[in-house]
This record gives sequence, structure tokens and C-alpha cells, in this order.
Amino acid sequence: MLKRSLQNKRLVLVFVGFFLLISGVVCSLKIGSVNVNIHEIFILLFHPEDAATYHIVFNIRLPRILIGALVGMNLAVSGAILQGVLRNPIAEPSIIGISSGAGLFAIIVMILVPEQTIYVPLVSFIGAMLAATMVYGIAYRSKLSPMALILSGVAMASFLGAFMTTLMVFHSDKVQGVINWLAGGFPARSWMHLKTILPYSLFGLTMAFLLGRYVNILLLGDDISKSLGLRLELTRLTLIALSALLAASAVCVSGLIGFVGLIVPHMVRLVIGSNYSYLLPFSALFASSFVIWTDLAARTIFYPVELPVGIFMAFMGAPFFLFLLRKNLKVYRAS
Amino acid sequence: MDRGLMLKGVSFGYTEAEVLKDLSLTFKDSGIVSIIGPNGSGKSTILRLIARLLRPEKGYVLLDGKNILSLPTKAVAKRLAILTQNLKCPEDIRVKDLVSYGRTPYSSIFGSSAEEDRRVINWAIEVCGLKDLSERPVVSLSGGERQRAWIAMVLAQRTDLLLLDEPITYLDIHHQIEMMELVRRLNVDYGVRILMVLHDINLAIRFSQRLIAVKDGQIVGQDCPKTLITEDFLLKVFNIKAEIMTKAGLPYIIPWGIVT
Repeated sequence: MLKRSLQNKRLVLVFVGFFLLISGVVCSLKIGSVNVNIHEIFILLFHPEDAATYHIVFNIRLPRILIGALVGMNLAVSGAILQGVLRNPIAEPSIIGISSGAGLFAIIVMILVPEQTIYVPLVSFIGAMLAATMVYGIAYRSKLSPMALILSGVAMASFLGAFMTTLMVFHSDKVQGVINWLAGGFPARSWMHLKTILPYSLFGLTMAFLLGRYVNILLLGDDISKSLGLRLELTRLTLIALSALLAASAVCVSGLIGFVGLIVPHMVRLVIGSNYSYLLPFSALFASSFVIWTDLAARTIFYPVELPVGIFMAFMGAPFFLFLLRKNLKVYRAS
Repeated sequence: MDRGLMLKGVSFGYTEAEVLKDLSLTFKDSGIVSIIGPNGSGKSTILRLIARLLRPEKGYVLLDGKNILSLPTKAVAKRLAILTQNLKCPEDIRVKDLVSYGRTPYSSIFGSSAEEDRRVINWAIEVCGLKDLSERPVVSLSGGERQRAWIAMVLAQRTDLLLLDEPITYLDIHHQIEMMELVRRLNVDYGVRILMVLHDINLAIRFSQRLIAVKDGQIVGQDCPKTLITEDFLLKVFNIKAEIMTKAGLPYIIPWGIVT
């Protein structure tokens, strides 16, 4: 009886998720500086005669939508994995140094060699992975215990953050672009950016969905995990490396969007529970539509001013999350 | 072949204070064996070394004659399982989910045999009397039911050897006996060999074929309960004065004082 209801709930949520995703994609294609209806989009697809509109719909809006979807999936899955592996509800990609590493490297390029801005995605990806590797390296001697990882991650973040602030203070004339990048968002994202993130997303998400079951085991504690034949350090290392890869590839095309990786996994957990076999795919599904809808809002509501999407995520997502939290607080009762 | 478990000259210490000193032990019993001894004597450490949760500083733990640490951990997980104290799982995990995690050693990242898994999971739930509770969250169960759910999980692991670290510590007397009867059933009906740490000497006597007494990191006696449990023995190992009666052909101890 109960089982039926849980399965039904999941089925309903699959439909809701895909409905939100597809409607988000369609609305985002239609709405903007030029409003296009669905009929016109179809005509454009097969007879691209109106070159200007075609360009807007298929070279500006479509890649932006797809990038938003992938970024959302990457960040949410990365955050969900970290919350499980580190057994810490406030874990998110920045806790293993991803955001500060990417941020520092991006700022160095934008401030010191602004003519090379095209390399910001690549460089910030390198920065993110470097920072994550260093956090690892420090925590490795403790056999990657969650506490050691969190502490070294937080210390690394504030260390790199200090460099960022210093650079910004000394180059206060050039910080406008930096501030926008730090706030995160998807203005002027193109097919090139999509190509940057796509391979990492495909690989990372596939692996994450396959390995999600092992997070369930890790949540039973180290002793039981070992007794069940899990190679504890290898499993943790692999899962954290995966979440680093996912988050780094997202951050390097979107800037520092923080909210998705922290909140979306919690929203999904509150609704469908903490079984990672379902939590990860559902987090990906809802994060992608969440980012698409908030990005649409961010670029249209105060048109022609475009707000950073992170601000909208907080405005729309946080109250909804608080509502869910109030209703389901027992999930977080001390265990 | 040298089947069974052996500890050979095992030493282990938390920092300086040695917990186990050059301890050797053979476990080839087909029945239930209980380790008894005072607090801090190293009982749990023995179980944790066998379950490779700890590495011996000296000596070896041998499974079928091979160093257990040199065997693939998945292969070991099909031979022996441990239930430690203070078990925890996420709030909303249902009994059925928990039991299904016992199938982990039989899966790879590409999944496992769903048919076989379902069969074993249902069997384990049935054996532990959890059929009506299988859809309930584990944390919503009573202490005794929760402990049975964990037993079902290790049962789904299909090991022939089960290590239990004080499985009845937080249970009331009814559920203590219920748990011990379940353990006995696992042994008699399903051939699972049991090695457990118990504090309750009377239950240990009643439900074990052999007792191993540990004190200060060394084995101070091992035998069948009838032979091992004497007033002298209790005085020596636990520093207690106790009277020993006979109940159903087995010793039954009534402790009435300590010796300091």
C-alpha cells in the first residue's frame, strides 16, 4: 500500500518534472526581446528565411537554455553527492574548493589579461580542479574523512577568497565584469560554451547515476560500508572526483551559481526521500527546469535590464524551500 | 583445507595502551560462540579485527588459511558480516531498502541480478518476521524491530559467518530473548555461524555452544558454558561473587557482590 504510493509519487514527479522542463524550454524559446510563437519556431526550423529571428532563437536562446539545463543538472547532482559522502547537509560544490578555485583563476584572467577573456571557461575549470585536488591532498592523510575534507575545503576557500578580494581591491576600476561573473548567469552563452560543458556532463552524470547506490551504503556509516565490501577510500575518492568534475565544468561556463547545488537536492529529498538511486536523477531533472525558469525570469522581468540568475533563484527558490522544510522537518530529525 | 577463522598472534593497541596482546584464537565452530569479559577487555576489538574494520598491528587474521586483508573485500563480504553497535541510517529509509543494501557485495556498478536479489530480500524479511513492517521507515520501528531489520540486512548478505557486537544492549528483556531466539534460528535453521559479544552471561550460557572469556586483551578461558562457568571463574574474570544454580541442565548465575 505504502509502496504503491511511493511509486505513484515518483511517477507523478517524473511527469511534473518533464512538464516543467519542456514548458520551460518552449517559453524560453518564445519570450524575449523578440517574441516568437511556436508556429513560427517550427517554420524557422525548416525554412530559416528570417535570418535575424532564426539567429535569436537558435543561436542565442537555444544554446543558453541547454547550457542552463546542463549547469543545473551538474550542480545539483554534484551537491547531492557531496551532501551524502560528507554526511553534511550544507555541503555543496564550493565546500571542496571548486568555486574559489574557479573564481580566483577567472579573476586573474579577467583583471590581469583582459584581452584573453575567451579563455575564462578553460582557466576557471583548471582552477576549480586544482583547488579540489589540493583539498583532497590535504584530507587524504586522514583517509578522506568527511570532517577533514570539510575543514580543509573551508580553509582553502577562505585562503583563495582572500586572493580574489585582494585582486579586486587593487584593480577596483576593472571589477564590473568580475562582479557579474561572480554572480553567475548565462548572458551571451553560445554553442561554444555548450561544447565545453557537454562531454563532462554526459560522462559525469552517467557515472553519478551508476554510482549513486553507493552513497546509500556510505550513509550507513563506515563500519557497515566496509562490512558490505565497499572499498571506502576508493568509493569516496571516486564520488568526490565526480562531483568536482561536474561542478567545475558547470562553474566554468556559468560563473559562480551557488544556490542550485545546495537547495535543489534538499527540495527533492524532502519530496521523494533520501534514496540516492532516485535522488540523483530527480535532482538533475528538477534542477534543469529550475535553472531554465529562473533564467527566463532573470532576463525578462526587468527587461531590458538582466538580473543575475542567482538572485532569482534565491527569490523564487528559497521561500519554496522554506515551505517544504516547514512541512517535512521530521526528515531532518537527528538520526 | 584450513577452513574457518583464525587469529594468529594478533596485537592491537589504541595508541600506547595495548588492547590485545599476542592473541590467538580459532573459530571453526558450526554453532554459536559468545565472547564474554569485562568492559575494555578487547571483546569488540576482536570482532572488529575479524571484520577488517581494524588492522592488526602484529599478527594475522586468517580466513580459510589466507590473510583476510589480502582477500578481495567483496569476496570477504560474501563470507562474513558484522553488526556493530550504534547503527544508524537516514530517517526515511524503509525496512525493505535497508535489507536490499545487504545485496551490495553481489552487485557491480552496472547493477545485479534483480530476480535473485528480490528472492533473497523477501526471504530475509520473512525470516526476521518483518513482513508487515517492510514498507515502514526503519527509524519508526521499536528498538527490537529495528535490530531485526538490521539482522535482515546482514542476512541478505548471505554470509555463512555473522559477527554481532552486543546485539541486545539497548533492548528490554522480552526483546532480548526474542533477539537471541532469532539468532539461534539463524544458526540452527539456516546454518549461519555466529560469533558475538555479549554482556549478559546468563543469556550467553543459554544460547551459546562455546564461550570465550577475554580479560585485559588476552583469552583467559574457552569452553562449553557448563564447564567454563564456575564461581572461581567469575571471581577471576569479573571480580564478582556469584552463586551458580542449575536451570535446564545449564548453569545460571546469581551475582550478589563485587570483589575489589
